[in-house]
Amino acid sequence: MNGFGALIRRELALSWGRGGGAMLALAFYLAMATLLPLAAGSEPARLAAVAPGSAWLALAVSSLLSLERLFERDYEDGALDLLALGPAPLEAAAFAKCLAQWITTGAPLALLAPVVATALGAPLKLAPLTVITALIGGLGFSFCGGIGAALSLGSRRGGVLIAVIVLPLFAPPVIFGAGAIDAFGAGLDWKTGLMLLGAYSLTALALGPFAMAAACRNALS
Amino acid sequence: MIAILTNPQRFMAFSAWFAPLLGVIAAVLAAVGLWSDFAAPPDYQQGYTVHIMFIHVAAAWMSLFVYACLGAASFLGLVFRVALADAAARAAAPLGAGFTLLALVTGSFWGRPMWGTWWVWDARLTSVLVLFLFYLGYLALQAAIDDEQRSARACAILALVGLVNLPIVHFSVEWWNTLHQGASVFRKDGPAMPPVYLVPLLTIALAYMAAFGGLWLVRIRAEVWRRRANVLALRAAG
Amino acid sequence: MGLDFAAGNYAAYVWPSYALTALIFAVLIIDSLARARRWKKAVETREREAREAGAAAPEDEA
Repeated sequence: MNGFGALIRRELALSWGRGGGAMLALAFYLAMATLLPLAAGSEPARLAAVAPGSAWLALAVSSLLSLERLFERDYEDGALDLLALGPAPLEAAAFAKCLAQWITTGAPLALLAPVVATALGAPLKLAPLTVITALIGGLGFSFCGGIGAALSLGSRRGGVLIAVIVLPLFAPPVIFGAGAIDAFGAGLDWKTGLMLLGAYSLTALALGPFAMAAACRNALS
Repeated sequence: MIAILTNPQRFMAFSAWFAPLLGVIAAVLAAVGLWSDFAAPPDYQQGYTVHIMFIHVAAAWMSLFVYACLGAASFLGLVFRVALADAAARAAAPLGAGFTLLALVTGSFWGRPMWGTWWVWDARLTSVLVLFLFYLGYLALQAAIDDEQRSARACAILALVGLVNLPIVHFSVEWWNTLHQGASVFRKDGPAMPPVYLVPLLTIALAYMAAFGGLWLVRIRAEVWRRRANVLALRAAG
Repeated sequence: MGLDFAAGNYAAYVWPSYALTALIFAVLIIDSLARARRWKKAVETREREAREAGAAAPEDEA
């Protein structure tokens, strides 16, 4: 457990020091939210109808941003070799990386999500559920995205490749998260969507590290 | 089957006669299927678009069947290091993408007269679209990693991740459909298909399957020769 | 029982979808066969070269 704590501390320090990963994702999120009314028209009625959904979509895309460097930097400077040889299994290192990525990028994005949704015209009563779904969904995004990041190690094109691999995997959490908010807004049963979202994120949490570790070992071989 | 996959020599001897045989079977089945297809009367609801339904539904079945083959080959390659499994997975992916594209395009041509739009965000259509995106991601990853062994193993991991994910995607899309659309375009408990339509549909589906089998073997053979050529080139250079 | 190739009002949708099916199958078949032929030829060329090199080598030494 001590070793795992050290791993988490290392990853947190790295991602804070990694040229403001969170700032970059937040700025990107805001920029996407700004472009939406410019592209879709600014009539309040039209925007309000799609506000929660598009806030969620932009969240999914923004969480892709910092994935590219998740394993790549450690892969390039040899730290990944040390992690693979070290006493802690590579699965734990992958878990720590994704958890740290969620804390430094996913959580700030989740806090910004209701602001964006409200600015686009979503009613304020949706804000608490927006934060909760964004926090839970962000966990799933980090652990699913990590698989894409680990798989594309050693490839010629990182960022776009990760997006193409990972975005189809993001279909279920986007559906569950935006669906729960929609249902809440319409006064329908929103707990099912939230529970399905939680189940998805837990599955990603449980299975993702094994896929990531296998992909890292393959890249190191 | 597995014994043939573990031994390249036996595979080459087996596929040399089995691939052309599958091609002939596919051609015969396609001819029979097309004959019964156009001998069938127009459906009282779908009219003549029922002809599209045969080639569309069969392609949609194949898109899933090929992914199952891809997943099985990836599993054999990753876990048991079966010699030809990597080649088989690599050979299946473009074929699967082709069948999925076919399902999407013909579905669109069927939807336009039936639903009045080229595309409906129906649960089945959407999951086939996500499946197509999976194939594209797989092919992109395969192309992006230069080292053969590494590329094959990374792709195998992705294929297995996809195998876990596809049922979840399918379930989530079904759930989403009940949320956004009162009545689905397809009825789950629709009337049983009369034999006059079942026969052409099943025959065409079998023809597709035989064609896939034959093409799959041809592509695996190409893969075996490609590796052999690369080994010989290395030996000549070294 | 005769064949009924009339497609009524829907001909504009039926025939293009058959044409596209034929096209995609043609692409898959041609690509697969061309690939197999190309690499088979490559193997044969390499093997011939190796044999010629093997036959030439002893003469060089002699």
